[in-house]
Amino acid sequence: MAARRDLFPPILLLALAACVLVAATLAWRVFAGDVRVDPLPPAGTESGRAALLPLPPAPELPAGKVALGERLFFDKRLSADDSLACAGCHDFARGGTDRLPVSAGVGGKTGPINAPTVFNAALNFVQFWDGRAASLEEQAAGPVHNPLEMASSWEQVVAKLKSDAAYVAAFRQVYADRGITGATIVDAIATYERTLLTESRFDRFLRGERTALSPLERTGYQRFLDYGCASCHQGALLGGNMFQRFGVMDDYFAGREIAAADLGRFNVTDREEDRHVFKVPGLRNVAVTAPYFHDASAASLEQAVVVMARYQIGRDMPDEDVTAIVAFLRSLTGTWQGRELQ
Amino acid sequence: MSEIALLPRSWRSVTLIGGATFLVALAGLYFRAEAVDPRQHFAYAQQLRDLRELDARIDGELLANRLEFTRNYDALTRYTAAAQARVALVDDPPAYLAAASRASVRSAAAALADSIARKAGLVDSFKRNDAVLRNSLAYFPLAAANLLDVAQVPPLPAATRPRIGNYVRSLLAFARLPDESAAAAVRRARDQLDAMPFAPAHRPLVDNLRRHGEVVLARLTELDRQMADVFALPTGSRLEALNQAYGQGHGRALEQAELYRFFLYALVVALSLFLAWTFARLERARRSLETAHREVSQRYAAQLAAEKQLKLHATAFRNAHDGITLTDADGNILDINPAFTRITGYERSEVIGRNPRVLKSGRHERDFYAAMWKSITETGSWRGEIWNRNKYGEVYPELLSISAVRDEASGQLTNYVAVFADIGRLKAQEQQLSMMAYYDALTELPNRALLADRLVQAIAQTRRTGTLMAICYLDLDGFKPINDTWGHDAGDRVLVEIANRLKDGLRGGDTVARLGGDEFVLLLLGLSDADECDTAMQRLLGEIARPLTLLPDPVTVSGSIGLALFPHDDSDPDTLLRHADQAMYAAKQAGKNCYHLFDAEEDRSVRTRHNRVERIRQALENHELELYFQPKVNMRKGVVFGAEALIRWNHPELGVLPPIEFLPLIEDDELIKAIGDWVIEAALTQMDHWHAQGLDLAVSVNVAARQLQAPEFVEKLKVALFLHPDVAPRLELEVLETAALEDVVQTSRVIEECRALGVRFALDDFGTGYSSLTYLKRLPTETIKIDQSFVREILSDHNNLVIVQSVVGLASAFQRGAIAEGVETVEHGRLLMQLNCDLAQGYGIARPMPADQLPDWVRGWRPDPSWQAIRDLYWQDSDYPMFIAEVEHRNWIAQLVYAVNEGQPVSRAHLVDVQHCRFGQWYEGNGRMRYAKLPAYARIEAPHRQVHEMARRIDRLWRDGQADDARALIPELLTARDEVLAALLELQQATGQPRNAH
Repeated sequence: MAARRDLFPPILLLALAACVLVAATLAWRVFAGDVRVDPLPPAGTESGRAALLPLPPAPELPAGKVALGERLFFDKRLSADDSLACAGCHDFARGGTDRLPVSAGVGGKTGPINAPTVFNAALNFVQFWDGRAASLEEQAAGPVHNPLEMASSWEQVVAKLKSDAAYVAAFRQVYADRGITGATIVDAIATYERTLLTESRFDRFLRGERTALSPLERTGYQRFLDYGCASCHQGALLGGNMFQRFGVMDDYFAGREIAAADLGRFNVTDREEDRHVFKVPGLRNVAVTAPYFHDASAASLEQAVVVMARYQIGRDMPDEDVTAIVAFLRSLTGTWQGRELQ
Repeated sequence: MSEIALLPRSWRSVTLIGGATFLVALAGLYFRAEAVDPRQHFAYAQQLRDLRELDARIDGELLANRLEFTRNYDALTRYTAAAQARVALVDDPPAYLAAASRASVRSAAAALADSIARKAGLVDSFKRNDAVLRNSLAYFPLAAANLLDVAQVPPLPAATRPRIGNYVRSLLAFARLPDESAAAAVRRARDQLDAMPFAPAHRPLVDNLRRHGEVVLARLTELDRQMADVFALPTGSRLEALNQAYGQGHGRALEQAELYRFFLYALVVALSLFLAWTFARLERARRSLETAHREVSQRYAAQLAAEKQLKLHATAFRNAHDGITLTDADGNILDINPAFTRITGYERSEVIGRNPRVLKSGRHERDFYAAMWKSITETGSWRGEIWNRNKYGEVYPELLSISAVRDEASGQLTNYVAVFADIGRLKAQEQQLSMMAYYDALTELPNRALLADRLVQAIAQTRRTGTLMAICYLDLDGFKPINDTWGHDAGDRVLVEIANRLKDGLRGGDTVARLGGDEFVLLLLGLSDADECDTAMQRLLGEIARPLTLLPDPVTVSGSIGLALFPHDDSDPDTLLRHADQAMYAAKQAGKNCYHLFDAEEDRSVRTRHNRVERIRQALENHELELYFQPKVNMRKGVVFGAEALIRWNHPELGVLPPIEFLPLIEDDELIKAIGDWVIEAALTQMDHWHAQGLDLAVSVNVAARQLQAPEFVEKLKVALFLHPDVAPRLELEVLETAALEDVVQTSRVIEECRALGVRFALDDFGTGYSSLTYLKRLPTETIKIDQSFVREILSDHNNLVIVQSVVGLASAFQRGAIAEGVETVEHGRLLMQLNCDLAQGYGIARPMPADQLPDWVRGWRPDPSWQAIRDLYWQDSDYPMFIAEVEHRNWIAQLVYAVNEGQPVSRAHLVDVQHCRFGQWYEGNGRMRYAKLPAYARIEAPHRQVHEMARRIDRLWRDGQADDARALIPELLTARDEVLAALLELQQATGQPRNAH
């Protein structure tokens, strides 16, 4: 009996250790097995080789996350004094913009630059006029921290949201253990923004429904191509996939007071060739997002078209062509939740 | 034990450390061997492949855009972004790469990232330039046309036209083939153009042309340089380098893993060998341990047994009544037992080491001892009486037995054992015992032995004096609670007190004795009559019932007295006592505190009955019981289908007794169950015999109510059936209707249980039990046996005929079979068949017979021809009046015959004319209506008239006082009756119809 008692505990201990080892190994295999490779984006031919492309289909995204993002997008608590939501400057009733030359931030402060629309923003290859944000997520963090805009911080925002049981529950449901953080907030918002795609009559036209555009609009479309507007304003967003100097054929800034915002991408790269270079804005919904340009210098589409023709194409455009192109540009106004944007 | 324990303790740490090290090594090796995760490898290789693909796609899209094959940058932008994202990922190669490989992979990845980043930068510039160039290239010819071809106001000076044309041409040439010489040509043409003076009106047009031309010149050159830069980027080679670096690293990691795998394998083999070796060792150890354990167990068991025996011996030694002395070979005392001390007075310490000679009395001569020792030496033992002296000098006789003990192996004398008993004390005790033998120690009353003496004397005295003697058996009522409440001492005191009261209440010559417990016997002599006895009894009971004061609480007891009066009960002493005892029990039953006189007559009847039941039990044990079998037949089919087993007692003196002679005696006795069991077993055994002879009959056995309701009945039956599997399905149990009705619920439950065993049931003597339809429905018997009291009378009593007919109908309605008992004649059978009762048993078919006769009987039996004749015929209900008429006719004749034979006047009813006797009424009424057309009908009339004629003649003779003559006519009358019946039968046969027509 004594021999048994003395001999067996080590063996039991070892057996226990062996079991723990096996379990650990299995766990390791399972977690190490979580290797994923994102698939390649589809090859170019799929999206088409023509200058203008129809709007891609809305992506399939988790509904819970989208709903959470939507709530955050409309939540004023993201600003320092609970006065301003994302939707404050990206007003859905105003084409996803504020229709102001520059946005009014917390406490009536004004920013340096015209706010672009949030609709279809997901299709931009980079965000902001100067492209300083590589993704929607990065972009979303920007205004929250900008003292001229929402003037808040993640610390502040997270604290406010955590006091809301509904948010805590929603975040736990969507993000499990990650909870409420700056990263999860912008992830939710960006996810929501990826759903903000607006189909327009022009898309129907591109898909073969010729009568979706009026004869004037069709003429405008042709002019748009002929003048070379479509050299920069191309792709599915009619822009948003490249940078270009404002004033290619003539010096737009000659005789103007140069503000920091006017330096454009130079502010980001500090390279001389990027001075006055801006992201080519997408033209979808352009008719409802006045005023135009980074400095909001054009109040009307006609004005904007004329400025573009002169400084970017180096052409003087007859009025009837301006009229036609503007008509075409109006056909780019899309619908959101079944209603055409106003 | 300590050595064994030490070894495992050192082993313990060795095992623990060794095992742990081993496990760690095993785990380490496993992780090393499995480090190269194929999924990780695949993922990384996929990244590399993706990068190559993306790089190619970027180049392709660049070209496509440059050639305006593609006119948007969506794809280009997307691929560039994807390539940048991917290249960031390959910077972190899988962890299984060795440090050196990892460094080289990372540096290759960094180089690639740089290359991709530069490419992205170039793509960015490309898009800007390409867009602008595209527009200017497209617009330039248009601007030239606007200047040259459109009529200008004022007109363009002629000298300027060639210069403009030259500029336009050189630029277009450059656009087609943008090399340095073409560029130089453009610059020359531009300078020439710049040297020309232009009117202010023309200036903007020229400037516009020149501006776009400059764009083309500058941007095209730059674009082509950028394209060249892009294609010159070492992206491909760096990708290749990265791929190679990774491939080498991966290969090295694989080799490493292979090595570890080999080690792992080696380690596992080693472990297996070690385990095998360990198990072999353990097995060997186990076997040797098992052997050792077995040996030890055996030894232990033997030792235990020995110890037990030793203890036993020691106990015997200590507790022996006889004194025992154990000495060595020299006769020195080694040990004595307590009895030694008791007998001799010597303590153990006083005699150990001394010689038994100390006990010598001196009464024996030297020769006595010499003879004793001679016997011991020669035979090994001596036995005899010897006088010894005890410690106090008293001489006493003892019975001594000395044995020499020799060593089993050497035969050397080792010890002597002396055993002795003090005979003197024995004798003294004997005397004391004989004193005690006649008196009860507690009460000092005579005991049973002395009472017996006294009784014998008292009987003699009573005979002599011609008086009466009462033998009173007294038992105290309420004595036990005293014992229980105050203990036996208190009980004893009460007994003494009662004894004294009894003694005081006696006259001289009377005796009171205590038999034990609280039982006393009194002998009252010289009584003149029963009244005197009565008075004495009352007095005694009064004495006993006086309150007892010797206990803490006042209590009273009473007495129950049984009386036998001699010589009214002239029995021997023992019997008298027994009778008194019996009478005492009767007194107890009568309510205590009274007396009861023994009644010889009552006793006898109880005893006879008891003896007879005993006798039946013996009969069962002596195999005097036997089963007879009465066949049961299907009259219509003419087959024997079964038999009823009936018990008989082959009484040695009284011959064969039917059950009615003995079964009623034991109906309420347990014995009925034993006999019932025997009957079932015997029947089954008999069925087995017949089965062996090829005779398969359904045998029914009668079951008594008591037997059927015994809880173990079904179980016993199950066992019986199990033992006779061949014949079990043909066993049928008959239960009396009256018995079944005693407890319908229980009976039907038992029947159901038996039916589950495949045993069928018949309801015996049906009709005698007043059973209602409800009961019949609830008793799930297969068969109804119509009681013979009805069957026997069907020929003569039309009421019974109706009863039988309705029972048959009832059975048919309940889908039970019906069998008629008591079929005494062929006519009974025939009429039953006509009533659709085809199954029958009775003397008319066969009497119960011993089992060995049955096979022959079955072989020889043929149904009666009269049955055969109507075998296929059936009658309708409307034909029944005809049968009733037949019965009426028989009855009429029978009554007439009875009256004549008994010398009584013939009833007037018999003398009515032909048309008004009951038969006549049927014949003229219902019969004529139904059967007048049949010839057989007409043939009845003549014999019927003849019968009536005979009746009148007999009546007349009777009235004339010629009784004998009248009696002489009876055979003639019967002959006439038979003619009527024969004719009637003919009619019946004519009216019966085959079954299928029915």
